Amino acid sequence: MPPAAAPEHYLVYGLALRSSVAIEGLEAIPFDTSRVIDCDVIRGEISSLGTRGSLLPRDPLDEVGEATVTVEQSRDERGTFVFTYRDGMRFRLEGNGSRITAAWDPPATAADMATYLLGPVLAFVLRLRGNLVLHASAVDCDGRALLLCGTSGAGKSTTAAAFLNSGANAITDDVSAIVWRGAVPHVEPGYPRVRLWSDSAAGLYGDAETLPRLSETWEKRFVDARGRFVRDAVPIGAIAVLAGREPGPPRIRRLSGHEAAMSLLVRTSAVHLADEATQGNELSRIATLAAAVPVFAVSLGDDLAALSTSVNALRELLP
Amino acid sequence: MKLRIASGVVFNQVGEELVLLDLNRGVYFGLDAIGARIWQALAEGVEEGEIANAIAAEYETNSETALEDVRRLIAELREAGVVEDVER
Repeated sequence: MPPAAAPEHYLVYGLALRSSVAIEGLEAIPFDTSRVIDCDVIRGEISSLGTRGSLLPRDPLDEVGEATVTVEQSRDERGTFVFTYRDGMRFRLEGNGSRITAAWDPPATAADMATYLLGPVLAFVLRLRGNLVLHASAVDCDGRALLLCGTSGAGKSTTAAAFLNSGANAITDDVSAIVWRGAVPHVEPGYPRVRLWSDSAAGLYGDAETLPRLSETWEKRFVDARGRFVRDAVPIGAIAVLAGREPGPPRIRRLSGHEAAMSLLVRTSAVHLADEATQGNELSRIATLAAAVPVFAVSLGDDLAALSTSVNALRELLP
Repeated sequence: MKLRIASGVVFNQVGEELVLLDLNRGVYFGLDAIGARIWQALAEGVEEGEIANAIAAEYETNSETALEDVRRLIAELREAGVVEDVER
């Protein structure tokens, strides 16, 4: 048996990861004895919890593209969950995600595993740990974060990539972990990639082939944002809730307090996961966020070539 | 008729407005500034007539109109199941 490789260390969404598997898309950091490891990631065998588990209600935020998921929660081991994706990718979370086992078989690859891990799986872990997580990408413009919220296909990543083209820095793609420093909400850095479907990539860069593929098994590509990536949490300047594309120029409307809170609630899993007290806390944090930061409903134009107009309009939303 | 907030309903002020979440059914509602005032008063057990008088004074409208508005909102909240009658 070959000797086990030394584990790699990573920082993502404010979590310190130690992984026996290289996680594609993350940059390994030097081992630091003073840093507490939040999650240990290993590859191993996973079986369904069967009758020892109960199914959690379906939550679209836990799914990846077309790959629907079932999430089981252990009845006898508190904080243990098993994710099973329709394509066979599996994750077992123990200790509320302090230990994550991943299992996959060919043709799935480690790159596919990373896509799931860095998306819904770590978002779930963050929620288990009591963090507020929004289904949002974020870009940094002169030290202020603009969060781009929306359902899959609303244009979060496409808009984020257009921001990068106009000189902004990447913060996170799809998963925004919110932390408070004093009374100021910040968003934690994710990883230096913005993932795009081929049609968006072609619209923004002329030819989708100019961007590398996320994995051999996916039609999705990514913008490599290394060198344009923030390393520390960024104060949130504004939140744009993207509501699809309509012909004509972008339409932007500031949401009132309760509208803002409700539109952000849709982007979390407040009612999915936890007990009443935790859900109450999540509502309270959403309300605090909506009161602290301006939230806008945004309809983007339907013309990708005109996205720079939208970028300029959205940039104006930041203080 | 005295009302109370149904169990499993949590709510939070957002500036002057309010958002409430029914944990039992996984649905949420938003209330504007006046709705939020009425909700907070209901949560404190204030009767509808008294709420209407306070709203009328604050927003310089007559008590009858205010009472209609309060009753309409209460009917909607009751219909949504987020408030319920206190049994006597």
